[in-house]
Amino acid sequence: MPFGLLFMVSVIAGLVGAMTGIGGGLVLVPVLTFFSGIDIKQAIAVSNLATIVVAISATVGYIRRHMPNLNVSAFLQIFAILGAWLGALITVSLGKRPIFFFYGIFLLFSCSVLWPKRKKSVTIVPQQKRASSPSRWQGSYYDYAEKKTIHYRAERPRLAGLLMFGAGFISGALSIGTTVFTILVHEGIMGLPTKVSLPTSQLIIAVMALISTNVYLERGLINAALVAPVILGVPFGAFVGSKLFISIKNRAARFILLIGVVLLGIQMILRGVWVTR
Amino acid sequence: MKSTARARWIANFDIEPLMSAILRNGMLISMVLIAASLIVQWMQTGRPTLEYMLQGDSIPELILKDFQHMDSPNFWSDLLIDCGISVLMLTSYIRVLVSMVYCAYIDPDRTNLVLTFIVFVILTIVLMTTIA
Repeated sequence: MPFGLLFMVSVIAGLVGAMTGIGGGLVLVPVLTFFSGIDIKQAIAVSNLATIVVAISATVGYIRRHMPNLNVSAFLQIFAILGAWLGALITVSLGKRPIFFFYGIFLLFSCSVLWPKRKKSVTIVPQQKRASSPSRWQGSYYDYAEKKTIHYRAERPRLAGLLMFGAGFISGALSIGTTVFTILVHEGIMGLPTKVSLPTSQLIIAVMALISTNVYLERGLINAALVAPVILGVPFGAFVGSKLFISIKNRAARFILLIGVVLLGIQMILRGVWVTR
Repeated sequence: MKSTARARWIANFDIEPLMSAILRNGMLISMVLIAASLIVQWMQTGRPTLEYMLQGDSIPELILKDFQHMDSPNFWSDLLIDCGISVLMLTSYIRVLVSMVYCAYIDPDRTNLVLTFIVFVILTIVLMTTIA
């Protein structure tokens, strides 16, 4: 695939990922494998690298505004990186067909999680004051939108730790739904507010993707021909998308994209079951 | 007098802007190196496509093995992209190291120090050695 086309695909993946709030990896890996014929392990490896770039660039803004809860991230990232490490080790030792199959399954699962949220607008996280508090599992932040201080307490940290191991495993193995699963744990299990869970998750995701990228690097699965256009293209697309989504209606775009991703997921499952090449 | 100044410095020290600066600069340096690699390749071959599979058991090995092929026509483009990827990977590693130093010396917090130390050890084993 020529450089220009790969760069455009990466920009579009970053753009739609940011505009619809589903993440670039969900689009990038299926597009690279189906339309470019790129090896799925190489596509997952380069998607992991793009995840590091996107997570770091998101964290830069959040951390400057004191938004992540550093205590929660310090605890959860241990479980997440161990899961990511194991997941990546399993993927590099598996054949392509099971990877296609499981990728398709988790693609559909991610869509089922995102489906009920398709009508909601993408959350815009405004500036807020320090989220971490001296007390380990408690925190507070000033919400500029609601004009009041929000106090919260992170519940069930041990269960959240175990589930973060699972989130890390799926992320390391398939580079898919990383943000979706991490936020599910933060909000669904720990009860963190979205304005804390999103920034905290990005801090963890950057380290999680780092571990799995190293596994792919050891096995020589990082293709330099993909690295440059993807690493330069996905963050550029995500940046443009994050600026654009405020001014356009993203609900319809998200609906169409989710349908497209479901179809890709079904195709990937079929490819994992029947197609031998 | 000295201890009062130190106490004031510690009280006013804010870790988040430092972490933000590390992450921002690491990412920017990495992207510049990767773009430079493309430009070098373009100038040498007329195409901005790198025909190369990155491979290394650790980050130091990834860089050092390039110097075994210094006579290769692709030496500079390979070295630049390897450095770009290494800087990108080291960015989060340094962020964890800074958190650990902060928990140890500036705002002592034993629990956070232990947690961050565990992460730092895992990252060091995985990224810097060939043990894993």
